[in-house]
Amino acid sequence: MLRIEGLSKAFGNANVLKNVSFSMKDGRITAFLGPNGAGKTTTIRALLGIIRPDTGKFYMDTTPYIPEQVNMRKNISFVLENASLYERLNGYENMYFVAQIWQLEKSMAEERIKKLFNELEIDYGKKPVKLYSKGMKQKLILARALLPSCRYLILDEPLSGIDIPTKHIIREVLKKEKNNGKAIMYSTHILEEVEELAQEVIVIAHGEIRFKGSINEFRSIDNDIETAFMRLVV
Amino acid sequence: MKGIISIIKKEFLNSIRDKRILYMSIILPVFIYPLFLLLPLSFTNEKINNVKEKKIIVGLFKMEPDSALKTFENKNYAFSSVDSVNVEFIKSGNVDIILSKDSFYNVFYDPEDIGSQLAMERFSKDVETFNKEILEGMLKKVGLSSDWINSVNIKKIPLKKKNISSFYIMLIAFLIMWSVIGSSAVIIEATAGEKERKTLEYLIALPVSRESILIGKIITTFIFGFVSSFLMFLAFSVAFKFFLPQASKSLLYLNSVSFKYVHIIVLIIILTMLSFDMLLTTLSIFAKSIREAQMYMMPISFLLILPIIFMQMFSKDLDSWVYFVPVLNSIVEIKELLIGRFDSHNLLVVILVYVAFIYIFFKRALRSFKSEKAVLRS
Ligand SMILES: Nc1ncnc2c1ncn2[C@@H]1O[C@H](COP(=O)(O)OP(=O)(O)OP(=O)(O)O)[C@@H](O)[C@H]1O
Ligand SMILES: [Mg+2]
Repeated sequence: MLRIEGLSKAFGNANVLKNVSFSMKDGRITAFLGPNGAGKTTTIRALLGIIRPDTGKFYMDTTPYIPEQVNMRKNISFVLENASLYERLNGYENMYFVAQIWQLEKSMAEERIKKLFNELEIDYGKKPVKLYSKGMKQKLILARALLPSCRYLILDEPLSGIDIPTKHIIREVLKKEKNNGKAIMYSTHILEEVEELAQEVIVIAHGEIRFKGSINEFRSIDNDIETAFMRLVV
Repeated sequence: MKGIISIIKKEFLNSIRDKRILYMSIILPVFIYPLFLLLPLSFTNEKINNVKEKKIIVGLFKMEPDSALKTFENKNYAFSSVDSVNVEFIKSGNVDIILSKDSFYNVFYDPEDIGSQLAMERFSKDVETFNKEILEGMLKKVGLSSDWINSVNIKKIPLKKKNISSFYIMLIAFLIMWSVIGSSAVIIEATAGEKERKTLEYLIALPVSRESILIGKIITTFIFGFVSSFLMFLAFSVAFKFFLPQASKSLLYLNSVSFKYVHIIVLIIILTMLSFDMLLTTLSIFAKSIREAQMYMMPISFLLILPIIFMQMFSKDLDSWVYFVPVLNSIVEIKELLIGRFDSHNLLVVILVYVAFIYIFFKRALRSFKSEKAVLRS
């Protein structure tokens, strides 16, 4: 379990996160749901040590997790919002770079890359990533996050701008990862994706947590989940 | 350590496939720069060689070839007549020098035309020889030895070795500067470029420390700069050796150069390049785009050339304070070492100045790289 407690962050005098607390559980997909500008990306950046929060603590189970410490960060892999690949490298080279960062053994890395490429239907070609289609790029970005097989997987809008067949493939892979016991957090503002994938729901708006609970609890707020969401975020 | 190596590998792959980087750090220094140097020099070279062998055309003003001049015809001279003493005849290439006669032979030449100047020199030398031959003939007739002509002989003996040419020093200075400027494309790509392509945020979130990332990027930049300057050195050497043997003698005085301290010279070059890599890193980390980074780079390239200009102006007596001025101190120290003078005190100052420079700018760059403002700037 990865737990966030009392996270706050201001940019200038804009309080972007206000005392945010929640957790992501093992073997569950947690939807991190919120409208544009709610503070989802900022929360994820703080969790990965990209920005320094003003207040707040993180825990992995019961041990404090300090994002600045490289060894602790090894437990988390991620897909960032608007993330890009190294366009001059080919798909394999992009993956192998990540494998080296996580210090995977060469033969192990090669085997895992091959497996992920098969699973996500990424062609194992030698062409540089800049010649890939958008869907292919997005799949490679996900493959890059799955490669080190971390306990925690954090995804910031991984399905934006992707066609239905590709979405389908990605969803299946995520479900499988969850069933292997991983704690997955998944930020989005699309409700159908939540219904399709999530077991846990966290709703954030204006930098505050407005709801946290299971998908069934979320559904019980209102017959229509769109109405429920609207009621939470206003 | 493993982190640094994987960063270097990635940066290397990325840079070697960047056309701009290849152009700046390989094509320009190895092909274009030597060409810039070769063309004007080979032009002069050719002119010098030409005058030595070709027929000199003497324009005669108000005179006919006299008996003396006639003997010159088999010494590779030709005569034509001109109706005035006018530099235009030389400029147009019709004649090399113009000759008129009163109590002297007046030799007119164009001081701005190297061909005309060399023709004048050859002509006066040949006249001298001619006079000597006449005298010798006369002495022989009266049964005297020609040794009488040279009753006093001189022999020129240099008291010290010819100093290293300032042209050679300039060449070395430019070599360092060009390679620094060339490798700046690598660090710009690795910092501002990553920001522009939206990969920097991903990179810093990976489980590898910012120190490792920064060091990996700087090492890659340094390798490109070093290889580039080495290739440039080779290219220039080849250019001089095979295409301009004449110029390499008269411009470089290569014979007077000593390579006894070449390892120290390489060390100074490494320190100079590293210092500037640090400075460039500090600036380009802050930039949000490649374009902005290039803008910051411009005054730096100018700063690099300043000491070279300075050197040219005050090459005679430089005080010991020059050893405290980056770039200038490298140039002066390398020059000293090339003429075989080694002063451990000055060398120590140079090394300490660079170590301090490198330390300060690395700290500064790291601070920028750790600040979310600089990293997320867009
Ligand atoms: N570096 C920054 N400087 C200033 N303000 C920022 C910065 N980053 C984010 N913000 C502000 O913080 C608020 C939350 O932004 P954030 O990106 O976290 O929202 P989000 O929930 O991810 O939205 P979206 O669904 O559009 O991605 C926004 O109002 C944004 O303008
Ligand atoms: Mg966002």
